[in-house]
Amino acid sequence: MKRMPIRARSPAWILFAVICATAGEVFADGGRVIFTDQMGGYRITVFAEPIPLRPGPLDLSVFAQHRENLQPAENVRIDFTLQPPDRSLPPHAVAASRQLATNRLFQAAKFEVSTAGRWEVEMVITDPSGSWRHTFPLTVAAPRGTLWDVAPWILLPFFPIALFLGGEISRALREEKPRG
Amino acid sequence: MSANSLAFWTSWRLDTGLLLTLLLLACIYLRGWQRLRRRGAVRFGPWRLAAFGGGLATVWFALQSPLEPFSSLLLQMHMIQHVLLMFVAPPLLWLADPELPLLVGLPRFLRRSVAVPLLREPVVRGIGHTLAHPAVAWILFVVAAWAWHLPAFYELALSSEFWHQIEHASFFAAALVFWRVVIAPYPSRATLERWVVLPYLLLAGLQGTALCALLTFSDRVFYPHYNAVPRLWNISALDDQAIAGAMMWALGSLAYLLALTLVTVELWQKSAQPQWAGDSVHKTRPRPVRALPPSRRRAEQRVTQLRRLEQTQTPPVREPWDALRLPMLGSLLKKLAFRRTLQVLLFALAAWIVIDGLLGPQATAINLAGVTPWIHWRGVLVIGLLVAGNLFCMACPFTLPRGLAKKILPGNWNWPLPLRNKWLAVGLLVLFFWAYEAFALWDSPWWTAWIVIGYFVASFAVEGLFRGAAFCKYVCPIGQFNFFQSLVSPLQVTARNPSVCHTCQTKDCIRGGPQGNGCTMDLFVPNKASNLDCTFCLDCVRACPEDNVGLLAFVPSNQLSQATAGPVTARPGGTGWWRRTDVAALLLVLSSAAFVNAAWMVEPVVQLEEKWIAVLQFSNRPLFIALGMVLALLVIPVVLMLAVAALSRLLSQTRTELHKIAIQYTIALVPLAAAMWVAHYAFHLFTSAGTIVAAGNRFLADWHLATLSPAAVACACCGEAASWILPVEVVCLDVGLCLALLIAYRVARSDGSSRRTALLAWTPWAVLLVTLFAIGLWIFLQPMQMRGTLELGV
Repeated sequence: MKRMPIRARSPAWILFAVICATAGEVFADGGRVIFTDQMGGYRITVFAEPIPLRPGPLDLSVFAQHRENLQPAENVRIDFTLQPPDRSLPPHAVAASRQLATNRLFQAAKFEVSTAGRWEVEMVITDPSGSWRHTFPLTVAAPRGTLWDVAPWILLPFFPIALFLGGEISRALREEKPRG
Repeated sequence: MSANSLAFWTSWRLDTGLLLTLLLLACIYLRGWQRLRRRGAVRFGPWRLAAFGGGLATVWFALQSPLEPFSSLLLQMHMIQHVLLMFVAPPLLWLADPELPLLVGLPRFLRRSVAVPLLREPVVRGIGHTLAHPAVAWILFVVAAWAWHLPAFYELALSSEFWHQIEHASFFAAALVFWRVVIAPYPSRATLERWVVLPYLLLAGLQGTALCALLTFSDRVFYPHYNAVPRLWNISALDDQAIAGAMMWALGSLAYLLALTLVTVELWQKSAQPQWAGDSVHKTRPRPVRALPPSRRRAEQRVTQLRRLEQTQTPPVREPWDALRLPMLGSLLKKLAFRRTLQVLLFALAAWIVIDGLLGPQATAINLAGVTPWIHWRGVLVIGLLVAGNLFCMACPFTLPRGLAKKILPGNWNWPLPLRNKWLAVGLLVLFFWAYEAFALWDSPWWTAWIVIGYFVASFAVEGLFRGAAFCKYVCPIGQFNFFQSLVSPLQVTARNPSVCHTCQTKDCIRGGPQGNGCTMDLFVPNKASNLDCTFCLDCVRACPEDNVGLLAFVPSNQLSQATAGPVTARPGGTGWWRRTDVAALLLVLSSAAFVNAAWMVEPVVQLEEKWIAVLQFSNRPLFIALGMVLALLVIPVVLMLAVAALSRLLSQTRTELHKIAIQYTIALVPLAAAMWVAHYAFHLFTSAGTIVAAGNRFLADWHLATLSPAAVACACCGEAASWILPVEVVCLDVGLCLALLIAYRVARSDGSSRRTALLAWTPWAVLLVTLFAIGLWIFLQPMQMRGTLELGV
């Protein structure tokens, strides 16, 4: 077998780090429970993501269960209306859908939240026998800032730079050591 | 099937990032595995490939299957995920002996330029060595397992996407480190005796048992999250926790037991072998061929034959990847008719722009002259230059009438000797950047049309009066920009085999010959070390009787690195030519302009300009901008370069003249500035690409070729920049910074000084480059004017 130009140390460490970095991109829609109660014949649990909620994309997922046996309720329509803190802005109305949810027990609705503050969520549950309405608050924290969002990308080059520098400095120190 | 079960089996994720990463790893491994097999490496049998594929598939299943969405509802699902990431995927991956195939499977330039130097770094080797120690690996594994099962950390992972990522990543990374010690994949060397693995596994199993017993037999729910979420399949949170603990106990114990058995068998077999058969440290020492089974003996003989063959033959020099060798495209590129077709197409586009600029409405967002050159052409240009080299000069419409010009006008004058340098081009570039801001050229279709006309007239006159391609070489500001940007391109027109050029007598590539014209830019292919002054006309390719000129792929930084070698020569494009003052001035102006041009359109700078005009009571804005441009493009950069050069000289205690040091290091600015141009122009392209629909529809409607569409007009509005654009801009700068620092270091090392002196000389330049990187970041983080678009709602 042809000899390798160098003895392979551990390229796998570096490449598997890529897996580690991307592994966490996966997160089920769900998030934190922000509301749970009985509505009509159903037990409704609403999850919100991201945690904490900040201006930007917002995911509301609803899990509707039959009250008696806690089996998932299938023929239920769920509509959300989000009222911004500043009442002069128009409200966002979105119907939740199972297709938007990764966990098919849930129905999910995606919103774009523009400002921080106390939003008001109106949820309407509709089934063939009637409809139920409930309103609850949703607090959106202040935006984190663009710099924070891109911080990992900004810091990215400093890892190879530090490795390179560390290597060069240690070589420089070795060069200066008197031989023998 | 119940509704819960049905929902479970249909809840799959598709994370393209993860999938592509895993597929990429699989492809690299497969490539390396095939290459090693071709070289006769019998160790890499099909089962190793299957193990690697199985390991990757396990990672994918753990993170993309229904386990992931249900892990926030049931602890047992989360535990299965952890078992897969800690006890199944890592051993499978290490059983594949992945290190060598992954290294060999990388593309050659990545292996040689990135992977191998990185792996040779003492810091990386030190980290690898530390992690390979059993004590370190065991502690990491145990700490990861216990820490993340503490209620506070577990709840944190469930409530934050970021910490959930960290949890999975640390489980997987710690398990990789742990199982590497157990499996000791080839070609790693055991740091301790092999029997150490037995207590290593036993102790790991014991601590695992303690953790699982806590979860299984507890009478309270450790993680309040599972009390809050709805229950599935009527499993209470406490039962769920007990099942999760028992599951981890059983599966974890099975993994430890299996590993213990295999290691014991391995040790027993070794103790039964004669002493020469190898010990735990040198386990790959070959056995005598006679002692091997027939199939293995044949394979070993084949390896011996291959080794002998390699010793007797000089390995052939591998030619870099050549775009001209591509089927169809390669032969098409070489044809002069293809170049003419591209030129005619761009000529037609230019005519379209001129007509609309002069005759169309003077509303930038719906005029072709307002959007096409400033949004689309510039964006496509910078991306094209980065990916494939100087393609625009190849398709340049301004040189299309060159032949006609030379027939009508004298065409044989020599370009004036004092102007045979880049100073005129530098002046024209500064003039252009000034006019661009002072007269808002991007906002005037009429001016844009006249610039295009002026360009054609100037090109026609210069090409018609003077020999060669004087306009491209000494005048054209766009050409200089293209030369500058293509210095970081991976493609370069150069000799396929330099030894063929050394024996060439005719030099047709520069003189011309029966097969075609020679280089009009006076570039001699064997001396060419970069894309500077190369218009990618491919005349040299057609002229070469040996078919020895190609469009070869190189590591992007190579052109710049080569610049640090060799003496200053008068031959254009050769090594050392960069240290000419006029070339350095060109590089410096274009580098400064990259930042100034982008900065002048962000809110704080525009406000600063207005403030200073008010404070200084300047009534003449063009004059104010002229002063600003002279300061920003010429005075400040020159002063800064000299100051940093002085500091560098002081630290390294050399005696080189200041201006020579500054000129030498100017080349290090190129990658960062090129990244800035790419990020800036690509931003406009990606945010405002739709404007061409509006302008095109309006143009066609004006000429009664279509009806005016309100939907098309909506495309001319500035929209929200997509969330991925800013990270892409930052990554551009990241790459630019790394390359710039590397080039600066190579410059520092080029005079043969010691590492210590080079590091000292390099430090001030590194500070300058990091400062420029920070300035670039600041610019991209500011709200940017969406030039050439309508405001939303118009």
